[in-house]
Amino acid sequence: MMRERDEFENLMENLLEGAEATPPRSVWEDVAPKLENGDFWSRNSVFFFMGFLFLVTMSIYGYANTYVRTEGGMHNSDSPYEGKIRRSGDPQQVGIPGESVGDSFAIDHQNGMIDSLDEREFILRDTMIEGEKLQLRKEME
Amino acid sequence: MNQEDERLLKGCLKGKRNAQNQLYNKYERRMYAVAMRYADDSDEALDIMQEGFIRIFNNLHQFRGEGRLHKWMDRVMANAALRFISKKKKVRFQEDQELELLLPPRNDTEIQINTKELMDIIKLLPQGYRTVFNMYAVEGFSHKEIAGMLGITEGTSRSQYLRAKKAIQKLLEEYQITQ
Repeated sequence: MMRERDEFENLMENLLEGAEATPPRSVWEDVAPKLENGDFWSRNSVFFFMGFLFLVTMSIYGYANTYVRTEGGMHNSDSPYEGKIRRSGDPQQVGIPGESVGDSFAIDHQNGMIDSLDEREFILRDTMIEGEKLQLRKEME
Repeated sequence: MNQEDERLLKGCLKGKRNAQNQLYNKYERRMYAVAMRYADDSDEALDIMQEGFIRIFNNLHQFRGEGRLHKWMDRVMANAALRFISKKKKVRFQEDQELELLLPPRNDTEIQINTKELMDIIKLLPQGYRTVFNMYAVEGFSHKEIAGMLGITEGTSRSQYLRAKKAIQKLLEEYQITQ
């Protein structure tokens, strides 16, 4: 609550309150870097954006994987594996350069393409839906 | 609060640098005048103003929209000045002595003086007088608040103010005579 002012105080306030003076230089450049920028969302927007980008990347990768399917038997690590890419989003995206839908491929443990083999195994194992696995199992039997 | 201040306030609360810059530019001269009332020189005033503006922007959410924005800013700036003064140097407050009678009251409205001249006169006061005078007569703090902020007794604040007032009245009279 504001207290009552006497005449002297009123005069002083009238003269000094609202007084302006020109500073010799601006201190804005010193002030600006020390300000807390924005609310929680805008302060952390960079992290949110990076998280969003990560999710989008993972979604694209997952989508591409989903559409790489093979025909053929289950892979036996002791024997060469043969198959055919049945459908594909973009084989390039999942590390099968130079191949596209309908291409046949064979993987031989002896051919030195171990990295490639691992990648294909990963794709096969992780993208087959249960129904396909069952069907393949039946075919093998 | 006028519309422009309201718009700037909203922008600042959202952390918009442009709004902060506009608010700074709008009140830079006013805030410098507040800082100058407490500082010994312009370098000190700039340091106070820098610290004061950082506190203003970082505490804007505490402004409840009651009264005018610049009055709230004045107080934050005055607080920044007090922190600066108490950190940098020990303000000497002469403890109560027998207070001399104040000069006979005069009709203050007769005083012909402009703001700059009055500011120059106030700068002639010792730091202790000047600080309490500014806080009480201009910023409107109570003696209790001043005592709390400066770590002195209410009685000291009161006596410092009366001495400052007397000194200013004397200086004003001398100023009038020389005019």
